[in-house]
Amino acid sequence: MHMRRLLVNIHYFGGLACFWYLIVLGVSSLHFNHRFSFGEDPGDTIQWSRPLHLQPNDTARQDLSETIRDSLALAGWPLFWETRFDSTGVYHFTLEQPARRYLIAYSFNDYNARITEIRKNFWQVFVSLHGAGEVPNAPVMTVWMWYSRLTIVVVLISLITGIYIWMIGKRDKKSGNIVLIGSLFATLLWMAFMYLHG
Amino acid sequence: MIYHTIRRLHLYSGFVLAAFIMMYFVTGFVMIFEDRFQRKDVEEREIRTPIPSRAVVSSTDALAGWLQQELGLGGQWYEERRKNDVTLHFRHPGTVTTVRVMPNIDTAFITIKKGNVYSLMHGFHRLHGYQGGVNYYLWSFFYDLSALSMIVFAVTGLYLWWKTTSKRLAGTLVLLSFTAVTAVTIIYLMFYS
Repeated sequence: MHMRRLLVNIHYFGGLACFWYLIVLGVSSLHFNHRFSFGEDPGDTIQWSRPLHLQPNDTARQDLSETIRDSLALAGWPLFWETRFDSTGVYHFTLEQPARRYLIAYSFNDYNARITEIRKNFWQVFVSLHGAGEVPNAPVMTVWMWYSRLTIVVVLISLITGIYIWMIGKRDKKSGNIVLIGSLFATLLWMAFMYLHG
Repeated sequence: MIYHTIRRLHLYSGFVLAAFIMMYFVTGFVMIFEDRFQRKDVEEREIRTPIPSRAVVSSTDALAGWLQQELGLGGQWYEERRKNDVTLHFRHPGTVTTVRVMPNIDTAFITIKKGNVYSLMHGFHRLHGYQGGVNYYLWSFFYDLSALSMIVFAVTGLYLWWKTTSKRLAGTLVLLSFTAVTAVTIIYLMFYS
């Protein structure tokens, strides 16, 4: 009886802790599958510039992007596939994070960084929480990273404890068995088929 | 009556989607800890095949259809166009096939890459979108059901907790704490990051 009480509590409190992350997962997954228009708006764009005294050297492009990002006190990941020097020697790169996208151009001639900042709307930020882990220079996101990790563990435990609670109970035994075992086999066979057949 | 209906909804939707949801959380775990579970290609093959007629490649859809029929390429595909070259990427969990077609050359250059088990897990986790044939439509449908079930589990779970317990203080504190975490994260991202 004590064990059942403990498992019920784990199921309840774990579920309550993960309530919002489950909502984020549900809404964002639906968006990934359907690309809702409210999650695709380009967002407001503002432009600004800031003097920045950097010397051209032999550092790799990723290091240069990170140096510029840190000097501008911005948060995000530099995208290496959107990094280049143009024909006039201006260095361009994109910095991405859940709430903003920065298109940054740095000139070694006038030591100036020109930034085009694209602000994402609420739904884009909400959807990006699906897989948002640690974001460089955004310390608060570490809490979210741990929350997402906690949710994964708690949902797996909740599934197992939920099945256990049903197993030791008396209701819906026969129909539950058929549905559970049937769906487990069907899903595994289906995944095997997709892997082998394409 | 409502309680029993919601309890059954919670139970059976959980059972129907148990393996599917389990897959998403196990593969999500592997993706979060990618440093430990690294993706690698374990097999790579390159082949060339003649394209019988330029008419076949008059459109990307026609080319994709021909490749699927003649070479048995399965999965979802997307197109990448560079100047005159067309590259088609066919993807199904664990395997990526890249087909490159160039102008004035009646040969398709094909690269088939098979990944390790972690690549396979990434492939299943990222598989979505109503494209690629019946199998993939059905997968996307179950993907939608799983997404909806996340919301259903959260809401029905909240209801069941509220109905079955009389001491709600601890649960309310847990719920409010994590509501605050979510709200602070969104406000921080939108206004302070």
